[in-house]
Amino acid sequence: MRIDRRWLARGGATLFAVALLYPLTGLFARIGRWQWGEDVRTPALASVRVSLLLTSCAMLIIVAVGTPLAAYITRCRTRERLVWQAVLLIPILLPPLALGILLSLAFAPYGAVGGWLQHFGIETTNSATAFIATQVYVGMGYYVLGTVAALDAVPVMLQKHAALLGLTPWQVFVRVTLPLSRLGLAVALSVAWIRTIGEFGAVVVTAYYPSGMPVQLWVNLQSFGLPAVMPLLVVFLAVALPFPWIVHVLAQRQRNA
Amino acid sequence: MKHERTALSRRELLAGAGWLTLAGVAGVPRRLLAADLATLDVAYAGSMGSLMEGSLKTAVARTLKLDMHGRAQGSSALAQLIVGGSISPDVFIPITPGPMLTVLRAGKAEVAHPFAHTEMVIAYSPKSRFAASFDAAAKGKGNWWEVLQEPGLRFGRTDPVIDPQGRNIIFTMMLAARLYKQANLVEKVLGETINKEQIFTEPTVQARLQSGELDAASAYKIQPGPFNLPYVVLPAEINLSGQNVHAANPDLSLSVGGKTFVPEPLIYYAAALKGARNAEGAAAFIQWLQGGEAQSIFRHLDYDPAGDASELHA
Repeated sequence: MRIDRRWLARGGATLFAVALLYPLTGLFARIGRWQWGEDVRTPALASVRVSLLLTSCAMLIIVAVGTPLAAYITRCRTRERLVWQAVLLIPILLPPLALGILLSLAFAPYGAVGGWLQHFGIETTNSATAFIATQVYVGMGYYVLGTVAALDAVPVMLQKHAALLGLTPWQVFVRVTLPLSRLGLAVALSVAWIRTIGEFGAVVVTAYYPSGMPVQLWVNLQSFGLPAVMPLLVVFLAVALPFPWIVHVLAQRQRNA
Repeated sequence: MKHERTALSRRELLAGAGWLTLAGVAGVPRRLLAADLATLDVAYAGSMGSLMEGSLKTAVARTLKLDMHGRAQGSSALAQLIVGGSISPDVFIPITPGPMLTVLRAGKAEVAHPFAHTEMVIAYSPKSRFAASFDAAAKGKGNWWEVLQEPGLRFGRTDPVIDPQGRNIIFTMMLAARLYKQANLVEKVLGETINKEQIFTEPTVQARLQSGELDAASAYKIQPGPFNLPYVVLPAEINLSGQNVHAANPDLSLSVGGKTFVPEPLIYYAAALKGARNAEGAAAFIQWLQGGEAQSIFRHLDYDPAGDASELHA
């Protein structure tokens, strides 16, 4: 009886997976021979490099800044925490296009901040800096909100006991809090990565160059049509998926160990 | 005690959010919820946004009793989406013959009717520190192409790989170089073909002039008006308004993104697509575009008549 029920659930989940992945059947639509000639391949591979490299930089910044911030918010009283959460929600609530427009206005070269940055030779549009900064704005809220929820799930008593046993706050964080919240952290990290590497609306305004994969998909669509979109789409899945998946695998394995 | 206060404030917060949502829903005008007009899906060149979503939409609803659902995007992209079958609008309106021929040759439409045309201009920002020089050039008291070479001037244009206007400004500058006998004008004003400091996505270029981020930019004559931006009119020899711009300059071509392009006249065409859901509406709309009411709207928004341009067939 129990087995039957589990197979029923598995059947339901399979049906769900089929429905969720159904759009991918579009890859087999009859649109003519896929194009992967020199003209398509060179910029496409360049965009893969741009996306992987710059998104990794953005993620490093997000994790480095976001983790301590999330640790702080976790320990805040409810009222203060609600304020921080509202602040974090704003950039991810904005439609990406709106965020892109606001970013390009706020960092415009004639403005105070943009002018100051330009003084130091930092271009605030169509540059690697603009690309990374936009991605940080896009992904930060997802990462911090997710991390707060993950850290929250760790019983405070355990952390207190560890401290009583003589661990420094840093040791408590690394040895107790992190391992106990890793599944939630994995979700926060992978969602932020996925959101960041796939970002189009904001990046297309602030950093049309250097073109990452989402912008290149759009460029391919306009200049060569669907036959040049599909191969890049497959490449996108192949290079963007492993990182978040491996994060989940690692988090899962430690739990079962 | 502390907990109680937090709980209360949370309840207040929820109530506040609830009221806000209610107010938002109540504030939606009733006409937006009503849908008694037949729908007409129109995919049109991105540069036409101000016209299509403004006075033309209103007039179409009034005269033809059609609710026009527009999709603004680069003409080439729309043509590719239609040919690939990922979108199937009732009517397709690109600028220049190229994208329309793509659709006609794929057998997605029979015939395309020209109904308006425009020309290249140089739009500039009133906030720019070069605005006075452009004002003077617009009145014929100075050379626009000299102002564009001022050190520190920020010029904007669109991607020549994907956007016809991005190529058109290059053709215009090539023609200007000949007209004014300035050998290196293209390089001096535009830099490299793909100059990352100048190229932005089509919908944002005019907005960047508005904000003052750019000093000047390429534009079609119909674009600066709705943004309240001034512009410099260019001579007919170089503004790509001529129907025979390629025949008049057979040696002019541009290779970019693995393709070679020749200049095309800036004519707007409309075609009813085969298998249109609202075929009747599409036919009526295209006929109406060429008639008096639509044409007077076009004149009002700086569109010029199609003149002697002829229909396109596959």
